[in-house]
Formats: sequence, structure tokens, C-alpha cells
Amino acid sequence: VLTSRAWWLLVVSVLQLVIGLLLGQPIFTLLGLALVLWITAEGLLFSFRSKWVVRGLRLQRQLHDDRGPVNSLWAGRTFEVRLTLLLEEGYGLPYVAFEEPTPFALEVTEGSAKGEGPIGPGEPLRVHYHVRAARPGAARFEGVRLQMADLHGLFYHVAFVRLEGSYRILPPLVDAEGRTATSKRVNLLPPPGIHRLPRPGSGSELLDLRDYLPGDPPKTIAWKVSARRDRLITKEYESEVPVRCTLFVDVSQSVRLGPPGRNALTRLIEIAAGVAQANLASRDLTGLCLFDEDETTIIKPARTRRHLVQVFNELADAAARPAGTGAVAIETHLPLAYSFAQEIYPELLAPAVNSMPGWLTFLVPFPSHWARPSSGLAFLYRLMVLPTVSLIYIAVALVGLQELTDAYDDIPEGWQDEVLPGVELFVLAYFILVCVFFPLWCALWRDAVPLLFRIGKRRLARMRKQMSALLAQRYNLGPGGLEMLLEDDRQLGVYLERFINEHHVPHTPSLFDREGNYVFRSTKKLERLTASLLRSIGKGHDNELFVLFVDLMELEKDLDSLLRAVKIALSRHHQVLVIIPWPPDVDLPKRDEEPSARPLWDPKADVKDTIRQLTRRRYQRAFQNVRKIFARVQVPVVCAAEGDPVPLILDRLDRLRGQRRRRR
Amino acid sequence: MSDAPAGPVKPRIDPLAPGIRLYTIVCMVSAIGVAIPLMVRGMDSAALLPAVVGVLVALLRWRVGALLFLISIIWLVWADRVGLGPVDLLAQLPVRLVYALTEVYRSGLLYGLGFFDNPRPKLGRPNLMLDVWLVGTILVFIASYYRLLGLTRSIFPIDSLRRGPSRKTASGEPKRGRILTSRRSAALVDASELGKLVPAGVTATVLAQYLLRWLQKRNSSTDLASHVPLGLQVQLRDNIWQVVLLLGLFVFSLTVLSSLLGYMGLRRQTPEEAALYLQDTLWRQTRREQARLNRWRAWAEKLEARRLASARR
Repeated sequence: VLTSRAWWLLVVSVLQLVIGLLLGQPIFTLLGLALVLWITAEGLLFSFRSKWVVRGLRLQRQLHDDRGPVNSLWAGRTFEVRLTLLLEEGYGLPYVAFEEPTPFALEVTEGSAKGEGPIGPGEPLRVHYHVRAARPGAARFEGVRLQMADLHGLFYHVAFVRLEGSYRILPPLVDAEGRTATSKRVNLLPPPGIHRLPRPGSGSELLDLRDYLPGDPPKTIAWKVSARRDRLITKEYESEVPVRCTLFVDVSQSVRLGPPGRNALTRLIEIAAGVAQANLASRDLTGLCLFDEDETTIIKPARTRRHLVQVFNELADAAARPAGTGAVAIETHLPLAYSFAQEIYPELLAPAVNSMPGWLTFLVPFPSHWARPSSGLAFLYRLMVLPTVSLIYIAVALVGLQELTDAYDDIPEGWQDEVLPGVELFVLAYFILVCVFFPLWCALWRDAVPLLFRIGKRRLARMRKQMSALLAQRYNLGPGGLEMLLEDDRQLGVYLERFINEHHVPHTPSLFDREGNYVFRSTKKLERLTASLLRSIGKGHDNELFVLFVDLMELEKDLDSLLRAVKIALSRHHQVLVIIPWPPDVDLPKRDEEPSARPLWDPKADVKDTIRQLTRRRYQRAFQNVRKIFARVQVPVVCAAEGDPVPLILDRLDRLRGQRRRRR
Repeated sequence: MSDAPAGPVKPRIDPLAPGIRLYTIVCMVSAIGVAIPLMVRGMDSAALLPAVVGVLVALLRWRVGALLFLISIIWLVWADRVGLGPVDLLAQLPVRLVYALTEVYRSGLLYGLGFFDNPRPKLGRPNLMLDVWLVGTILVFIASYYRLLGLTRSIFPIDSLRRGPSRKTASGEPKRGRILTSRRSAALVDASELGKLVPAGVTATVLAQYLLRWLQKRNSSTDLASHVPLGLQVQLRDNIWQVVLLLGLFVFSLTVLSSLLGYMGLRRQTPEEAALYLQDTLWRQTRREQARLNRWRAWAEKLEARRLASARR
């Protein structure tokens, strides 16, 4: 691409050259010729470099922590990214500048992901920088965006050297060693092995004294007490039998709403990870069940380190999953995806492989009026304009017919008889022509005239075509895929969302459908949760704790089956705890809040403020309803964002031990 | 302590950085070098005009500096052609312009500015060595000046969409961040770059000189004699014929070379690009048929959705 600097220089040089030749001024001619030759030579050399040499660039990336290369990251810890850009072939590039787009889940803490300089075989460019992930999930690296120019800044080229890499970001590690003592709950966790089961066992704490029975080991005899009582007394020690805790984590669309790492699911995963670590430290068993609308993932309770890593991996994968129903608004998501693709896939949007004829955007709307929902204004326009222009067309056609017959009459009779066919044939041909052009005339007024005044619509059409081509190729939609995405808003929405989600681009999906229904409401996940809970009850060994991390908003009327399952669990002496996820930007529920006297709709209030208030009320009302429903079966319901639920869960585990004592 | 909003800090340019210093010196030397052949050809003090402009813009680093330098050369040659000094031409030009406009208003015809041609222009006749020196130094100046701009202004085109972090004004309103510019780091400049710059300028000048010599020998009547059918006479002025010839030569060479480079580009395409290219070609050739099919399909889906909605109601 020629820069404006090059264009100006070229214009002045060519003017000099032409004026010099026309006026016979040799210095002008020579100077103009020399400049044009120099710019041409530089341009050809640059073109060779941009089309041939750049393709030989390769990228290497390694992530390191203090001990060496890593394959997964931990939330809250800093890692070093080492980038090497190297050229494999025999021609060098005099100057390149590159920058790695930082994954949305990471932030650069030290250094910069930018580099510049000449590059050649054996002379790689290296960059080191440090990143930190605040939340669990996944970080996706795409590659580096490369800008290339000649040393004079006359030519410019953008390329992307791709090296995709996805890294899990595991939940923060808060184990007994307290590597990252960032949360207060670390202090609340009991040290390893202090959980006591008040049942005689091989523990170290004294539980009770009893009379000696034959077969008791002599070392358990309490000699002083035996001497006082004048009979042999044996000491009984506590048992350290672990308690099982199963975490049911809702990873459905509704909790994934919002950017990965900053949605309600992130908090749930942090709590679940904290509980799993605390349980491992106290040698209790932790099971995990991840469920959404479509599938359930179950990890059996265990207490090994490998099991904990497996739990963390599953949680990190769940945290990285974005929300999406395919019902995205094209007007907002198409520019978002297009601007992202311009950064990451510049070569696939280049006019040489993916072009949109400019004239087409003036004539044809995408999608056509058949496919898109017609607005009232468009309907009115068609109602008014189309009959009018049709009448004008017919009137002009009739005038033309009259002119044609008059012109035929003016032809000398000899010609009419001998040379030309009869007037009927002319009229017929004219009629056919009029009929052929009539739809084009109507289409011109229906589509092209409104498009003339809609620059935004034309720009959107160009984006749509280029993105449709990219998506059709990327997802193997076949030869007709491109045109299908151009004409079908629903399909384009699905693939746009998939593209955006695959690249972890934060976006806001539509929450409500055209009828005003909440699109993330799902009863299927309740069925899956109920089935999983019943399965766990069936396989339960002893008193267990079931923690349900589940979003029950808008599902208050569909809780019957879940309540039945909870009752079964309670009847078998298990404990159940419900933790409701809470959106980060909604006020916490208040226990004794009185209904506000303020009306729901205040025309004077700011629209955004009103929507925020309505959302808050909706969530709080739903939360109170769920709490009341579960209170009937004496199951506590806790808001995930309120305080720290981890100690509460651990406290429940301790209570289970208490129950065991009573049973005994 | 000031409570002014913190905006992105614009990195300061160190004018004494080795790379910047090197190219500033090269610009100045080449600007002074331009004056020497002009003086030898008898331009006297007027020869200093491009040198002064060159030194000034090298110190000020204006974006239009190279074009100003070229305009100063053009101005000098024009002044020599009309037999005036550059300053005299500057003084007379407004008067001549007013006179010419008045004539246009009166008669409706433009006869020119009324300058007389200098019968003995000092720069009118070619001088092989001095011309090569003059044009070579001008080329070196322009190239080194653009390199200097790459170090001090920006080496890539400025993109108004790429901005620094947004900040807040004193009233608390958000304000868009500054437009980011990308400069080449002065630390990357190597003295060996000059070893390529100067020969490139000299080579371009020598090639241009050869091309000019070849062009000056072109004559429309003799050149066209063998190509025009017998009995047909083509009257074309030689300078027009030279312009046409030069244009044709450039178009032909550029077409051949760009085709070659385009072919090389196709050879180096990734599979994704190649698939996209084929898909685009197919779409352009069958767009209407595909659109018709999809419109029918979309229409059918629309009807189906309407039917389902009415059934639900």
C-alpha cells in the first residue's frame, strides 16, 4: 500500500516529469525521471518482500514461570511470555514492527508485547513480557500483528503471523502452604488432619474412656485412671474418617452471561475451587458435577492431588466457556466481529481474495427485503412509492408507444412495405422490452434509491459480505455458504457468535427474544441437576454434603422435581446447601427489604438507571422466592456474592460429623 | 499536587540520538551539496535557496519538508527560465497574477502571466556531470529526509482509530485518547544504511540520465513511420510523443513486473487464502442464482415462523 507520503511525492515527481518533457526543461525531466524510477524500484522491492518474504516468517511462543515452561496458568500469578519472530528464508526485511494482541483474559504487568527492528535469517526478533490472569478460564493467544514499511515510510503492509495457543487458567491456588494468601478464607481453613470424626478409631485425639476388654492393645490402657478406679480402663481415640462433599456447579448459559472471567460463573468456580482445596487439605473427599442445558460432567469424589488437578481443569474449562444462544443482533455484532477480524485475519479480508464490488452495495441490500423483517417505515415507503413509480412507468411506456407508432407512420410507405416488418412486430418487441425492464425499474426504486442515502447500511453490507466469506470458509459451509450467510440473519448470527466466542472476544448477547422472553431461562438444566443429585444420593456412602451452585432465576415455578430430590437427600441424612450465583454488577439482596414505593416506570428517570433498577428488583424478588421455597424443606440458600460461602460449606461438613456422633 | 487527569505521556524525541543525528547531518550535507552544481552553473546567491530550505526543514522536521525542498528547486528553475531571481519572481508573481486575471475578465482568454522567456537560461542546457550531481544529491536529501521523518514523526500511516487510553477532562467527561504514532527507534539506525542509500540515489540518477538521453532521441515521424499504414500521416509533436512513449514504457514494465509479483503472491498463498479466493470467484459468477435460491428459502422460513407464531397464539 502506498502511503500518503508516497502519493504526494509521486504526484509532484510525475508533474515535474511531464512539465519537463513538455517545456523541454532537462533538469525537471531528469529529476522527475529519477524520482519516479527510485519510487518504482522501492515499490517493487517492497512488493516482493510483502508478497514473498513475509510469508516465511515464523513465530515461537513459550510461557514460563519461575521454574520453567508451563502449559497452564494459575489465576493471580504472573507468567513470562517469550516470543521469537524468525525468518526461515534467505531474504531479510529492513524494518518490521510487531505486537501481540494480549488475550482478553490476561493483563500485561511488566514489559511490552511489542517489538521492532530488522529481521533476517539467523537474526530473529525477541520479546519478553509478563502477564497475569485475574480470573480462572482460558487465555487464547492468536499470534502477532506485523506492520511492515520501507525505511522511508513510502510503502506499508500489514500481516498477521499466526500461532494460536490456548492455555487454561486454573483457579487460584490457596492450599495449606498458602502460595497466594490473597483471600481471607485461607485463614479460616482448618490445618490438615484436624477434622475429627467422633467415632473410635486410630486418630490422635482422645474421645472417651471405657472398661478394658480382652484384646485391647496394652498401649491404650490409661494407667493412672485404672489405678484410681482399681480396674483396667482403656482409652478410645477419635477416628479421622473423611466426609464426602459433592459440588454441583451450574455452567449453563445464564451463569456464563458476561465476559469470561467477569461473570457469575467465575465466582462459583472460585468458591468450588476453594472448597475442593480445603477438603483436600483436611483429607475429605470432593466430587464435582458440572451441568448445563445439554450435558453433565461428573467426577467421582476423591482426595488425591491428581483428582484436584482434574477438578481444576474441569472448572477452568467451564469458566472459559462463553454464553451464546445464536440470537445476536447483527447490527452490533457484525462490526465487532469485523473489527476483530481486521486485526487478526487481515490477509483473509484483503480485496485480492475477499472483495465486495462497491457498486453492488448501492444497488442490492443484504439481506434482501424478502429475508429481513420489514419495518413500518419501509412498508409505508413501498406502499407509497411502488404504485406511484409503476404508474409513471406505464404512462411513460404508453407515451413511448405512441411515439413509436408515429415514427413508424413517418417512414415512407415503400420502406414500410419492402424493408421493415409490420408495425405489430415493433409494438410486440416494445411491449416485451417494457415488461422486461419493469421489474428492474421497481427494484431500482425499492432497493437502490433508499440505499443511496444510507451510508451506514452500505458499509454494513460490505462488512457482511467479507465476514460471510470468512465464516463460510472457516466453518466449511460449502459453495453456497457465503450467499446463505448474506441472506439469512439467523444463520449469520449463529456463526458470528461462534466466531466471537472461539476467539474469546467479550460481547453482550441479547437477553430477551422478540416476544420479550428471557432467552437464558432453561428447565433442561434443572432436569439434569435433579438426575445428577438422585444419582449421587443413590451412590452415597454415608452422611454427605451436596452443594448446589445453581442459578434458579425465573425458574421458581419449575422447582418441584428438584425439591423432591432434595427431600430424598435430607431423608437419608445428607445435607444440602444451595448457593445462588449473582451477577457482579447487580446490588446484593437485602434480607428485610420492603417493597419500594417508587413506581417501576418513571418517565422522568434515565432509561439506563430504570433498566438497572428493574433488573435489581427482578433478581432480588427471584432470590427471595427461591429462599422461601427452600426454607420449607429447611435448606439454606446463600447468595454467592454475599460474604464468603467457603467457611459456611466447611461448617456444614463439621455439622455432618456432629450428626454422626448423635447417630452413634 | 496537581489533580490534572493523567493522559498518555508522549515519548520525547531525543534530537541527539545517534540515528536522528546521522540523518539530520546527511540531510544538511546533501542540501548544501545541491547548491554546489547550481553555483558552478552560475546561479550565484540564488543557488543557496534550496540549501537554506533543506537545512531549515531538516531542523524543523516538517511532514511537508521534502515537498517544500522540491518546490524550492522548481521555483529556482522557473525563475531562471523567466530570467529573474527567485526573490524577484516572488515579488512579481502577485502583480502578474492580478494582471492575468484582469485580462481574463476583460477578454475571456488567458494569455499567460506575461513573463518573457530567458534567451540564455543557466539551467536550460544539459550538463551530464553537474546534472547527475544535482539530481543525485536531491534524491539523497529526499530519501534521508523521509528516513528522518520515520524516526521523529511516524514510519507507518497514522490511523485515527488507534488511540491511547481514554482520559477524563477536568469536568469529568471522558475524552478520547491521543492518536498513536509509530516511530522507528533511533537506536536501530546503523551507519551501514547510508552505504545503501547513496548508491541507490546515484544509480537511479544515472538510469534516469540514460533514459532521458534515449527519450530525447525519439522522434515521432521516424518512430511511427514503420508502424503507420502507408498513406496515413500522423502529426505528433516530439515532446508529446516522448510523454506517450514514457507512459507506455512505464505501464508496460509495471504490468509485467506486477503480474510477476502477483503470481509470486499466489504461489505463497496459504490454503485458507486460496480457498477464500476460489469461493469469492464462485460467488461473483453465481451470485444471482444463489441469491434467488436463498431468497426463496428465507421467504419460506419467514412464512413458517409466521405460521408457528399464529399457531402458538
